[in-house]
Amino acid sequence: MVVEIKNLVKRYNDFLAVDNVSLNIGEGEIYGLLGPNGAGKTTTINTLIGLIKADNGEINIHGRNINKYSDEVKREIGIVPQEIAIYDELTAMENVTFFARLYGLRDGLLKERVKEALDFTGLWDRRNDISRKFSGGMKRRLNIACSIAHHPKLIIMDEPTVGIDPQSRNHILESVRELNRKGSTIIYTSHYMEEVEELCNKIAIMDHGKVIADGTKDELKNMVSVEDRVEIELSAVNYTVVDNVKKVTGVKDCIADNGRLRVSSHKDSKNLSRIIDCIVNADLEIIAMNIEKPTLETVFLTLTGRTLRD
Amino acid sequence: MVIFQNNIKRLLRDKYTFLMMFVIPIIFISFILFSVGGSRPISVSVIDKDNTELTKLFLEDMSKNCKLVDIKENEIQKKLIRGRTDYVILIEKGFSEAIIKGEDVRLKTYNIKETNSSMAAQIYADSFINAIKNIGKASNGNEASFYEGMAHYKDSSLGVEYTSLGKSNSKRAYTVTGIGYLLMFMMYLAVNSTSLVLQDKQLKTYGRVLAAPVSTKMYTLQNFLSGYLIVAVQVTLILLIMRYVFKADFGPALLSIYAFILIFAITAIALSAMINSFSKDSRQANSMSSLLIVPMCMLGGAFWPRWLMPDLLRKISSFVPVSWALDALEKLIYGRPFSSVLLEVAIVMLFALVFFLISANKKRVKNA
Ligand SMILES: Nc1ncnc2c1ncn2[C@@H]1O[C@H](COP(=O)(O)OP(=O)(O)OP(=O)(O)O)[C@@H](O)[C@H]1O
Ligand SMILES: [Mg+2]
Repeated sequence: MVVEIKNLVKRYNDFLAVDNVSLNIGEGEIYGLLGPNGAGKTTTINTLIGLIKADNGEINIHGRNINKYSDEVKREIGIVPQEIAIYDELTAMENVTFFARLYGLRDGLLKERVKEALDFTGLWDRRNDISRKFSGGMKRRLNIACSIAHHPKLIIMDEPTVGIDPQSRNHILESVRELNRKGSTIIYTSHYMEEVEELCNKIAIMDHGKVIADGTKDELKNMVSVEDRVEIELSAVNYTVVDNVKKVTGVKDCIADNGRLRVSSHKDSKNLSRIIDCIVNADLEIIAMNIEKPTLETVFLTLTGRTLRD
Repeated sequence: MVIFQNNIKRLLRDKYTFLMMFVIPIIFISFILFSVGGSRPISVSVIDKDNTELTKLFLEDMSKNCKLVDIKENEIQKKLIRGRTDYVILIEKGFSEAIIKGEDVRLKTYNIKETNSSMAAQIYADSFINAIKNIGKASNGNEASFYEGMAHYKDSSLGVEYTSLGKSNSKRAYTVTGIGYLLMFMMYLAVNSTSLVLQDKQLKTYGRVLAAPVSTKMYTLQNFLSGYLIVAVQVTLILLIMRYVFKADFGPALLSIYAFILIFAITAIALSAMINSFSKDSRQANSMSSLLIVPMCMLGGAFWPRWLMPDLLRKISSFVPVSWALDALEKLIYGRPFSSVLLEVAIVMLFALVFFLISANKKRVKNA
């Protein structure tokens, strides 16, 4: 295990920000921490990197307790804070160099790694510009560059894509995959479920300080979906076809509605081709088809009764 | 020392720091030093009841550096208070005889405490009396050999040294005021440069740096050191400019003065640490420092001599480190040795300790 969090509790006065959270994150994973605003993601991360003291619980990174081996553990982590943390009066290069030196890089290796980090985030051409003049997206990328020059084994990114355009966002997501391919374990925090769904192989969903579900994407979705649904738009609908579809194995129900067929089947019936056969045999034309798969949004909605973006 | 270096880089790049460091202090101090008009000689009155060859020599000597003002014994108080004379010396009958016999006699003197001019007059008188006491001891009560020694003394280098002890005393008074302003600007700069910690908190780089393998202690220490270096550079350059460009008169021991101011710089950093620990951001720290530093300097006598202030304020002023610093610096400027300001060094360091403790305690409470 790269990260083991056991029964983590953090209170702000009477307010329970992190409520008995336990997580295990394995080597090479891109682990998503998904939750709405105020769920306790950043608080969890900040206890993980030793910035705030937990009220209870234990955290081990690479098997070492973070309180006992604070410096050793910190050396192996690259943190991309939610709030951009760069010196805006310094240039991009000076920022990356400063943070890299904090992790002990010097001389030739320092120069090499600084260039690598700036190249990686596409900022090399702007390296001598004062970062105050950067756009939001560029600052976000610089924020990332500052965290990777020392080649950390564990990279923690707290909402690295907040408030930036889709192009920059894709650039960042691609970088995350690339870092992971190069061997870093990644913790990725977000309240964009599409991002997490696209990027992460394991996910924990947090709400009100608690982990309400965790596991692989499929495990999470299986928790909430009891049936497979498909919606088919046809040139015309007749009752014969409805009756025939209902006879297909696994189908629970079929409803004709305004030129559409809504078919629900038992989970994992894998009967879609047979349903389509029925329609083709009835000489009807399929105009559009929509397979409704549960998303992480559905998972969250089912577990909390609220949508993520509320 | 990565943080230290980074802080220095950030500070030197900041135009505001540069203004506070040199430009503003130099403008102020040059005003003060250029306002040194025709320097007023020190007025000394001697009531000579002994009236011997020796006391005549003494009067002659004093007149080289001071303006001698006639006075009667019953008007000493009045004339001192009205500023007609700065220093009154009363030579009792038998004084010369006692000196020649090598006895330990003292002059009776009157002055208003702590005025610069009287301090200078006192130094002239003391050095003369010390010299003649030594000659007295050496001559073993023999009047002839005593006066022989005196004649020798007058020509000797010793005599030259003491006459050069302070030709321009009121010029030195301006130097004291100039240094008073320097202390004020030091404290401002100290607050400004150590409040990088508050900027770091706003920029969120504070937490980011602590997420690296850096302890809070190391961060704080390097923050103090960078602030101290900036203040030390300020002090060095301004003293050099005062001395070599404005030709300010620092008396005989500029190095001691420099050393003392560098010690006071620690107190300035400690004060800043305290101000920072009570502030949310650097703007708040700056307004709090204005609120503290100016009154501190007023009480401490940075803008005018403390003896001008009412008794109560003078008493209060001993709770302000600037008072002690200026007392010490005044002594050094008027030629006293560094050993005479050790008490002030101790007290100024004690203030530093108290300020550091308050800020550490405040931080602890905040974190709890
Ligand atoms: N320093 C603090 N003092 C008091 N309450 C705090 C503090 N920091 C966070 N909280 C509270 O703890 C809760 C969790 O905050 P946290 O920042 O961990 O949420 P988050 O999941 O990161 O949210 P977001 O998506 O908005 O970043 C919030 O309700 C917040 O108000
Ligand atoms: Mg957050």
